[in-house]
Amino acid sequence: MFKIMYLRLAMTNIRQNKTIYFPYMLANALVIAMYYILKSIRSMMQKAGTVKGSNTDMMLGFCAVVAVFMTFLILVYVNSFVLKQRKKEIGLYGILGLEKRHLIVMMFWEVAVTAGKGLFFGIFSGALLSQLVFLLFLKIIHIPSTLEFTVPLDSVLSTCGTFAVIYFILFCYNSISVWKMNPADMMKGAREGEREPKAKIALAVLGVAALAFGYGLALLANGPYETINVFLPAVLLVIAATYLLFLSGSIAFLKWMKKRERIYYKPGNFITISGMIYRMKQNAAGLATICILSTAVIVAISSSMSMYLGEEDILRIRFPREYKTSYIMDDVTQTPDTLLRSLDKRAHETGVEIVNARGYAQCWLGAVYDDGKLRLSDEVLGKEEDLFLFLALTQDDYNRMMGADLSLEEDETAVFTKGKIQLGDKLKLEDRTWEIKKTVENPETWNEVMYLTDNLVVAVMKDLDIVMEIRDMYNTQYADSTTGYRTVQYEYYFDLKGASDAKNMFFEGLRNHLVEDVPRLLTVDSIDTARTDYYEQYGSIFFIGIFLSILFVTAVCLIIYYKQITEGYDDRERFHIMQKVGMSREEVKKAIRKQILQVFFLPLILAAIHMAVAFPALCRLLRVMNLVNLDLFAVCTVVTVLVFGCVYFVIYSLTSRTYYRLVTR
Amino acid sequence: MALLEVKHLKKNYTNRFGGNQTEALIDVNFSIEEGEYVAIMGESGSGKTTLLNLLASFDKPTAGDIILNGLSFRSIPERNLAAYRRENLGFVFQDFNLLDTLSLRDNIYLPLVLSGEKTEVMKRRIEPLVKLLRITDILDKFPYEVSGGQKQRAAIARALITEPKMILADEPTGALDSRASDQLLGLFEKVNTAGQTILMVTHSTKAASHADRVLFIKDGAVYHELYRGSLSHEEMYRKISDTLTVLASGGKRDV
Repeated sequence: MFKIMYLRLAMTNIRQNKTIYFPYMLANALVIAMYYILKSIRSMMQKAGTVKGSNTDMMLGFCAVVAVFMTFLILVYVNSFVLKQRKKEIGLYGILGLEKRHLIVMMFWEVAVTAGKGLFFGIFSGALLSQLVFLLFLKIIHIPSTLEFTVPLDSVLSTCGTFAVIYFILFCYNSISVWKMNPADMMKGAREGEREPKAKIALAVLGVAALAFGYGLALLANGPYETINVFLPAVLLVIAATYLLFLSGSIAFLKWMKKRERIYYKPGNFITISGMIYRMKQNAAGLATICILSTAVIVAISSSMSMYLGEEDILRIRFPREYKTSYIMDDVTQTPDTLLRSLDKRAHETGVEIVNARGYAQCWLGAVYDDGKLRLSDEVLGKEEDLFLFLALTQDDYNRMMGADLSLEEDETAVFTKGKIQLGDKLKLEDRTWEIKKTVENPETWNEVMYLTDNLVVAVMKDLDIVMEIRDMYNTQYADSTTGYRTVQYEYYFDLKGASDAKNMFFEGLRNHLVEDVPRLLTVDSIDTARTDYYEQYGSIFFIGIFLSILFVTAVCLIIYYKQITEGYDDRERFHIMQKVGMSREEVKKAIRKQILQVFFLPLILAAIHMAVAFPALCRLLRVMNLVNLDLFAVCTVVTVLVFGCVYFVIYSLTSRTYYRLVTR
Repeated sequence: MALLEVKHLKKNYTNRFGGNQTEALIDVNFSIEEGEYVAIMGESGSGKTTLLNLLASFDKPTAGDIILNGLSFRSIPERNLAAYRRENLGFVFQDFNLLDTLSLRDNIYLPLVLSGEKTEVMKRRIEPLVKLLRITDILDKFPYEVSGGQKQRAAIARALITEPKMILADEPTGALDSRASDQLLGLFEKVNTAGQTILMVTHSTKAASHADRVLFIKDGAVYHELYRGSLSHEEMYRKISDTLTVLASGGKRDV
């Protein structure tokens, strides 16, 4: 009997508080649906066995952990908001004679009903959408698939289990808060005595300092390695700074404005400044969170999207031809003939023809340019602008590749340089000197450390002996250092002519074939396998980026919505008073709109600034992943910011409507 | 010429579901001279709130006209109404209507700031007002930090600072204890003596007994009128009481 009464009470409560419960329910269903979709995709991937590596699976698993964490925070935030708004109502129940344990039973039913509805609608819509999202996911990672509708039971169970735990925690939280309240407090409800907030100057200064320090770290870091090292501390500093600035910096600034009579006593500013001081106090944490989440969304989407879209560029640099093989040349006797003969044999066996070949021996080293002289260096961690990449090639290879006709002597060289360097007519490397006979074109050879620096010296030498001499010069100095010893590698790129079946046959088992003939075989790769791997890896990252962003945007939506509601209740009274004192309805509306606009677009603007400052650092990080096309990243970033801005504006306008309804009612 | 003329004022409220009309004011006529202190009395539902809303230009009459200082409310375009109200009328409300985000000083400045007045003017005007109302020491406090009487005095300062033609007071003593009420009524008299026209709507006999003239409203029309002449507060109080008794028991009668 009793039980049913409480259940009914709980249901009525939820219906009565539609304005605050409806978005809560919606958010519940949404996060549950998203979590279920993620789980079911992972399960379907595992069953289908389409993925070769466990990379994707691992990333999806990681994403699920982040998603649970995010979801938990979202639900805690919304739940505590709902509870705060209902304080008065719960207090009334207390006064009407419900004991605390009764209230807790009521709370239990409220959470249970919310959880039940959320799980039902969440899993239901999740099941409907998961197939579509799965297809989309396969499309993104370029795996062909057929549509079949399945609802993996293990995903349903794990979703229910995970959220049961989350709801239980929420129930405990609610019970404890109800237990701690006394009716008098509860009746006061959400409108507790509002004092004008104090400006905490020290915190504001700390915030500015943290921001400056964080920005400084990101902007002044040298080279990719240092960037990787400082990036996390910089991010943490900026997050801390964002909270500090919103919490105290904003209030300090507004108070400062208030003291300037000429600024303060202007019709537009007067209402805005005084109102903002209160608003900032209530909203600072929420706004800072919005700012951080917005930045996270922009960074995640723009970088994963540019990695994903930059695929062909990156592959083109790595694969000037469709296939690539390479081996290490220990001495001059290991001529490429062995490799070429072996390849020809394979081609002959499988009925294809090797065309468009491009092969060269190269040795790359780090060097520092100093007073007209290059000094070998293992300082890959050093300053980006001081470090040069030194590449040694032979004139035979160069002539063949570029169609040139260099004929160099022992002490002669032909060079290509990029970066701040003035060699004059001599190339000096350590204590060796070559006469520069000619300046040549960039042969555009690829190597795995290209991201380190834009500075480049390509030196074409008479023969392999000299290239090996340079290698030894380095190794005698640095073989034992952390960066290890260098080798001369022979790299061979080629296309194939023939039927695609034959091409596949050629490449399948090529490594096993070559390894028998070529002693120090290094790479056997094709652009197709690289592409497949690439899409699997960066496609997964892109997908996860989008997925988490949707979760973030959901969080942002909810924060904005509930802010607007709280403010709507608060502003209603103010709205009436201002009208009575002699502001027209339009003036009041304009004043309030200005205020809200400023409050809600402040985080977005700060997010854009964060992004702008992080941009160079992100560029350096992306270069490590071979994304050299920074224009693409810039475009992706701008597009992301604009799209996100639009989404934000739509959310804002939609929730504003609720707000105006509350205020003008 | 009278400062305020109210001619054949009529206000009908249409029922929300259409059709049925409620006549809140049927035919109200009266005028107020400059410097007068007039109280309007009536029971709840008599139409006094409607009348006040019309006089404050919060609402528009169905028929009739209100003329303040020779200017008909009907001739003021809608968009100028707020500014007109701000510059010509001062309001004192039962529940003070102070903004809790502003200090008392800023609350008092509010109408002037909205009119785009210079800070020097604002400072010059607030000085004598706060001295008169004895709130100089609490000007930088916020509404939630002061008593009801102090809030109401700040509200009066806000009403007076625009140097309005007329003060409209809606149950100004309604939310105050008797001591604060007495103080407030004393202040009104002082302000009135200094030449300020006051129109007060109230159902407190005591508050009304301080006025020069009392208008009684019943069933949407002015039912009776009392002049103080040379009567004392006590005598006036008794006269008003008697009238109210007659009003409560008596039938419908035209002025």
